[in-house]
Amino acid sequence: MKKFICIIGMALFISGNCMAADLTVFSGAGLMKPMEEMRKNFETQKNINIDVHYGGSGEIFGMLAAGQPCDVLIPGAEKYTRDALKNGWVIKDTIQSLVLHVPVITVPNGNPAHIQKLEDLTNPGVKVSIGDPRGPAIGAVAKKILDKAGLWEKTQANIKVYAPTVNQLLIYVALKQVDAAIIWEDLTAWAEGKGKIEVVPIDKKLNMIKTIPTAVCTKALHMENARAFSEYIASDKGFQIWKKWGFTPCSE
Amino acid sequence: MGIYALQRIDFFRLVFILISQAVTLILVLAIGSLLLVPEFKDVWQNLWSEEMIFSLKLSLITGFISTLLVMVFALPIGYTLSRFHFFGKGFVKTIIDLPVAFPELVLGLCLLLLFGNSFFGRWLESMGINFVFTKQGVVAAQFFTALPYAARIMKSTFDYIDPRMEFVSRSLGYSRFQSFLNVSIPLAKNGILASTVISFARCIGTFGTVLILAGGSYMKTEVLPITLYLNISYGNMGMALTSGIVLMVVSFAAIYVFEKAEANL
Amino acid sequence: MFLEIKDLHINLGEFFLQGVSFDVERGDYLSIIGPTGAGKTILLESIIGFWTPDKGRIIVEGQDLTNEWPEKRRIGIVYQDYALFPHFTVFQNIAYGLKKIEKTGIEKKTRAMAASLHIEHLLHRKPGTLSGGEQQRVALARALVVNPRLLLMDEPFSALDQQTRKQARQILKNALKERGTTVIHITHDLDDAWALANKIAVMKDGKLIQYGTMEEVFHQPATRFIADFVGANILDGCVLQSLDGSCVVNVNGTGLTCRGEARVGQKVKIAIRPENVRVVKNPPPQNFSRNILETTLTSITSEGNICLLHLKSRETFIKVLVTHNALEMHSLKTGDSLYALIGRDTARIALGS
Repeated sequence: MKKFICIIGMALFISGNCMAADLTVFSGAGLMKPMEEMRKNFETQKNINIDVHYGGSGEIFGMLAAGQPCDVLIPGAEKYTRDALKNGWVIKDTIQSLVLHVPVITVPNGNPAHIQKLEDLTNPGVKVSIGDPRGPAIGAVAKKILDKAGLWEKTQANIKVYAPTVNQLLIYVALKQVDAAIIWEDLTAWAEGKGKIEVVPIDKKLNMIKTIPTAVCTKALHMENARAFSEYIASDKGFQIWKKWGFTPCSE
Repeated sequence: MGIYALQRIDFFRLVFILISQAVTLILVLAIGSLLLVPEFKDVWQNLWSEEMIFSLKLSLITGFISTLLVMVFALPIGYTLSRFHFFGKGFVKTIIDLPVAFPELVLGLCLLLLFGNSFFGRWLESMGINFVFTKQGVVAAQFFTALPYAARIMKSTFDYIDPRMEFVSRSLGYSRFQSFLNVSIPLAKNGILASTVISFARCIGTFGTVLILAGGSYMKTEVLPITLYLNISYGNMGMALTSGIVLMVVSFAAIYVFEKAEANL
Repeated sequence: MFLEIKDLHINLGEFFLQGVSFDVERGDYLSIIGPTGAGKTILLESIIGFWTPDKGRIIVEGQDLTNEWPEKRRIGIVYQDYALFPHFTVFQNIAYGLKKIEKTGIEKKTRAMAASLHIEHLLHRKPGTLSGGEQQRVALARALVVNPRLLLMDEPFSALDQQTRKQARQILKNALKERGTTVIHITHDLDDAWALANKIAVMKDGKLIQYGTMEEVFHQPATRFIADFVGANILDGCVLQSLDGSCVVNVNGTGLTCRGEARVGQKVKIAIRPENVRVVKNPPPQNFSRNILETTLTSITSEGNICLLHLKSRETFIKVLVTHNALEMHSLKTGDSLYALIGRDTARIALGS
């Protein structure tokens, strides 16, 4: 019995320990690779414990709206940061643009549907997948790009699936389930896609390049750490890591 | 000595009852908060939104079709595993049971690979069946997720039915199939009912498999758990909570129907 | 020949048959006895067709049924636990087989069958509400109503108490007398065999080790195992003298006259049924026609309303059945010197070796 109580006690202690993070970050799921590396570096550097929650931009925005504690907000598009600022959830002078998020068309290896440009997505029989326009940032962006180019109506018939998560898009392309998807360029650098997909750039005039901002929340519980982390990921050291994972810093 | 023994038993009882009650309490609180957090007016409005009606309708229709298909297959599979000995039986049993332990997402991925841009998938497509990113795919995803549960219940149901009942039926001039219909099926009705209800609940609740195989597209292959998930990612907590409540009501209704029907048997 | 079983082999792992062969004539009542695991039930289930033999043939009325579907064989079965259909009423249970073969008169036939087994008052009830004896009769009615050419019974009485069992035997006997159905009946209870059977088969380890009339098996058990199983005394001896139909056999120094053929000098076993031995306290006259053994009573065991006396004569052991009355009347007790009298016709040469 004593042993049993000891085990229960230890279990509670350990789980309690885990919950006590020194910094909580909400990050877009598409930023996971560089973010993880920076988290580890910053953790060793400061000897603190960081809890990073990855999710769709809408999802983490919703969590912020529901009052979940958050110190640093790094969504997949600056729209969310602007909205958060409007609602008074982030501190204005902490907003910094980090890197560019460039939408591209990805096609399976060999480009079976011969997609060369954005208009090709309307070719008959091409299977297209985009993110859910109301969900991940890339979904909304893809819709806007097609809208702006006047192709939205024409691609409707070809769009087989509106994926609720970005990773689904990548899987569907890599597994040749669709002929093309609109996705962030940096995602294509992921190991999952290596050797399985090809990238077709979108014409600069038609494209909508986004910037990824960081911001410290007004209700941050760990203000000092939050500001330090936000600075770190926008520093030269931080940008080296961003570049390593295929992102282009805004300054370049 | 006697008092000591009594105390020990009571202590044991007390701890176990406390554990059961504590967990029950947490569950009740969790379910209760789903009902208490959102505003009723909000929920009512969401309930009649186009998206919710679509999702509920699609869930019910695919759920019924999948459950029907699951039972059509679970009966012979359960019976086979219970009655027949054949080469490779252990293998069949393991593979059919596998999805119980499989994460739904992995199962979805496997089905996507099979039914997608593969030889088999193209063959099915030429027959007019397309499981990828379609409503048919929702049914396929639900079918494969729920089948192992139903097949397991049917196997243990048939295990409890004395095969000699079927022997006697056959000795009285009825074929194997007639004996199955006249004797095994009526005797298995409790198990059939239980596995139907569990299959239905499983079908309605299937998320990961549907997400991967059918895509989980807004207003296209959107079933209730997808609605819940989509609206979380849209940051629309009202709709998310509403679909949660609808899912819960459907599950409770299934349990209620099950207990009602079981009492009548 | 009505039923011929030829060299039947079957292997179901735990249970198996190894080369079982026997014939049954029309109207025979065959009892199969043997210890648990002897393969009795799977023999029945092979005859009815639930298992396909690995080797061998099953022939009924000249028709080879080995690979015939069970539903085409017209063989009925009654199980130990009756296997009644719990979701049907008694009426539906009995009428079940009739519905398959007849369009009209089902109601009448079912009622007549029920009446002959005295269960017509139970027809509307579900099997779960019946007593063991009632269920047994329903199972019998269900099997008999379709007039099977062969009826198989797997320990149909073993779940019944002594009193009900006697009654059930009588009911079965009457029901069979009207129909002349051929029966194979597995039993643990030798009383079943005595009361009902005219043939008996003994099985052990998947083999048929003796088959014959009741007389043959009970009086001339083929092995010591069967003798023990059917309760006979087996004495080892050597033939001293042989003259048409009877022999004098030396059993541990005592000459016993017994029925049977054997060569002089042959080693034989003599079977004596314990109920055929008389015991007396005083020495009988010298010219007495029975064999006489001088014995000592070593122990007394009681079996129901009868007693088994264990006697010893030099190196020979012999069991004798007596009633409790006889025991008290002669005030027999352990250590008494007794003369065992064995009729010359009741001691039989069981087998030579």
